[in-house]
Amino acid sequence: MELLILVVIIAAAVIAEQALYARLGAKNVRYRCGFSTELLTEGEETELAEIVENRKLLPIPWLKAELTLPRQMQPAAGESVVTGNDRFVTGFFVVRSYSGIRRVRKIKANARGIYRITGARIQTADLLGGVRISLSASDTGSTVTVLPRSAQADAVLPVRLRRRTGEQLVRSSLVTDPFFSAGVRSYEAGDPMQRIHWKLAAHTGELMVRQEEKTAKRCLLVLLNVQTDSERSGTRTVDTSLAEHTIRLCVQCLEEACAEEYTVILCSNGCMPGGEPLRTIETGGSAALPMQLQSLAELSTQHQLPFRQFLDRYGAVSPDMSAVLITPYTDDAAAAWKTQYPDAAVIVSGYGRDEAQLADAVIPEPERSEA
Amino acid sequence: MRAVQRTLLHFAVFTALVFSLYPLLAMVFHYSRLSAGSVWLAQLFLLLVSFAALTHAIFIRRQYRKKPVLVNLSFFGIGLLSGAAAWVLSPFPGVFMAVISAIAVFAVYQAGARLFFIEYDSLIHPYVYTAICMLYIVPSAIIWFGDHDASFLWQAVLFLIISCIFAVAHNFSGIDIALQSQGAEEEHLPKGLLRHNRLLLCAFGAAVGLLLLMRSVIGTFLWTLLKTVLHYAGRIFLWIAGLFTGNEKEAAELEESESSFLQQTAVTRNEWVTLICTLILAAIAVFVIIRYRRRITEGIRNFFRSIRSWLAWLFGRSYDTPFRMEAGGYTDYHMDLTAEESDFADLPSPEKVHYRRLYRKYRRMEHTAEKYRLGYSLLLYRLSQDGLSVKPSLSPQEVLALVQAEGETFALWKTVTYGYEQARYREQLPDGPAFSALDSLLSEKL
Repeated sequence: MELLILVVIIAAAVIAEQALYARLGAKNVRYRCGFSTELLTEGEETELAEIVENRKLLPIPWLKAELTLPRQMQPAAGESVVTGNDRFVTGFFVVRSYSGIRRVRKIKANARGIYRITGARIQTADLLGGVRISLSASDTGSTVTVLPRSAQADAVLPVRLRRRTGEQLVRSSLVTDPFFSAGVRSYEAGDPMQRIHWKLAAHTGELMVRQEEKTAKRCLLVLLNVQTDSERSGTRTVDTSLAEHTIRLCVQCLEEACAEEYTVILCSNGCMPGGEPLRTIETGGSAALPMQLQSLAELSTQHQLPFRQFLDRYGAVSPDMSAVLITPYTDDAAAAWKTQYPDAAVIVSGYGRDEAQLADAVIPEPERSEA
Repeated sequence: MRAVQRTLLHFAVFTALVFSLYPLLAMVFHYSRLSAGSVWLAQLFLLLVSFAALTHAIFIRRQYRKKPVLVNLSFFGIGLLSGAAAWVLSPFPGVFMAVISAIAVFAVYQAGARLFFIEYDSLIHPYVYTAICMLYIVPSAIIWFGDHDASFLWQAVLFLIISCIFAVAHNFSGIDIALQSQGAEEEHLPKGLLRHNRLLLCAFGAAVGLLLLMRSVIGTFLWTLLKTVLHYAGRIFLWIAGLFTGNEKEAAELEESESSFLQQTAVTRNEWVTLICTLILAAIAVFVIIRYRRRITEGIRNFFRSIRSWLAWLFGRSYDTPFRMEAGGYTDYHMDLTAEESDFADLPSPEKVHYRRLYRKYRRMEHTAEKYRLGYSLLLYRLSQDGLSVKPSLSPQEVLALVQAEGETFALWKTVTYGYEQARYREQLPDGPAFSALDSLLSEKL
């Protein structure tokens, strides 16, 4: 009899506990997560913060949060499961009444791109696991942009394009440069008063004005080919590793160009999220490099414009411009372009693939250089 | 030269791992009343089997990528053959022990093959050495329980040799790491490591020697301890059983049978199957404790912190210091949300109890600045109870602006606010009218 009563009491307690959690378990529970930074470079670490708050007297015995991250965002320690392009990171929380937990994980960005937390499945249960309640995350944070890293090779830009700091003289320009004097001449109607050389005017007895040169900053056109095999080879797939190495070479080239005070135009046959090939506006100064890197972070190597068409459409180099072509291989299209612009530099990123013998430099992938 | 030494050391560690099974074999053979010489034969047989498995793994490893099923089948088949050989050669009487022997030899073959694929640094990890220590201590203790006169000379000698091998292996590993990290030459080896290992070995030797000398005293003590624990565990079990059955007679019978079981355990030596089960359970418990030691430590620490924060919350003290916990590649910061800046209206009920206590304290106090400030804070709390959002960050003038709508009492509020500013910012005692205004507002609010 006593045993029966004990069983009934236990059963009643279990039912009451489950009813309590079914009614109040998810009340005033808040879950949010996000990355701590919005911008980082490939290979760097950022923090993924998960915050669980329980603003009620009833504690949460366990709360399971399963986050879906891109597979390129890898936890620096601990376990995660990779399926396809997704990486699942699971965490368990035990939250007391009127308390919260802020869990911080170190996440390493293994590849460039723009990423976000694509999903968060949150589930809580009562003490015995009989009642399971699913919750939704109130906030999954903003996107994180992973910029491509530099190839860490020796100097990429050829010598003829380096060590030429400052402006260069040009034949025509809208305005003249007061720092470059071009002698004096007689005053003509319409000349500004500030250019009158008063001492010389007193000496010669007629109005004389200072002449100034026309200058322009040097511009570098960087052409990036992410097509890893020529059309003749018949290969349709992209060698991702080689394409990424080519992009890293491009990053190094951009860094060197900015250090040499070039203004840069970046063009690539890889497509942007809108489906169009990449072509940036001419930019210089400190803002130029971050903008170009941001564009490269978004670049897709899977959807491309064929190399020949790319050179036809974006390869035109004006006389006051220098040009660099960074490509995994060279072919007759590259040879024709080089013949048209003999001053342009060609950098090949694939080992032994400079078939047209055009390369100023061949910088293969570090791990494949001995192959 | 160093590579050859490292290879030899790898084989020595492998042999030491196989010899770590010696005490287990000694225990089984002791309780089966077989001769001590047969223990060595069995140990050598296991060594042979494990080296055969190792050789098998070394020769066949390149074929695994091409024919994984065939390779696995070969391991399984040769393991089965070894097991069958153990069945035939088993010195134990009865089929049951022959089957156990066969399974054990099969397991040793599989383990020997897998040890080849385990990284050398993992093999010489201190956890492995800890496990070997457990393998030496627990079976030896079980032999002691049954026979205080048993000899443990070979266990001690083997244990010392294994300890030496592990110490030398650690020494080599430490030197390798030091050389890699500093880019140093071999003549600049860290001598401190070697000295440290010698000291450790001396300490181990001394401990084992002391145990051998005191074995009868320790054995008696451990046996008495075990008997006492079993006796009281049995009594507790009988008491719980008596609660449900209500039959004193049955309980007494159970008690009698329990004591006879204890006597039987003390006298007989053939109940080694029970002892093996106990040993396995103990090993599992030790494994769980070692494997999850960090979580267990954190759990205990967390438990005490929870109690501390709960008590602080109960007695109205703030406990808002976040604490962190490192496990599984993340860091946890615990937050106390009751200490967070929030509306007073959200305060839980114990705060209300706290309020009444403070109000009684306010009534008892003399006219001091402290009393005035306490009265003002109570007033703010009552204000928030009326539905106004009064945050602690608000200045007195901002609070005054909030209560502008209360036309009749606004003059009193102005006097109270001025008095509070005097007490708070000028460190002056508010005058009598300010105290009266505060009293009247508090009494009105109550």
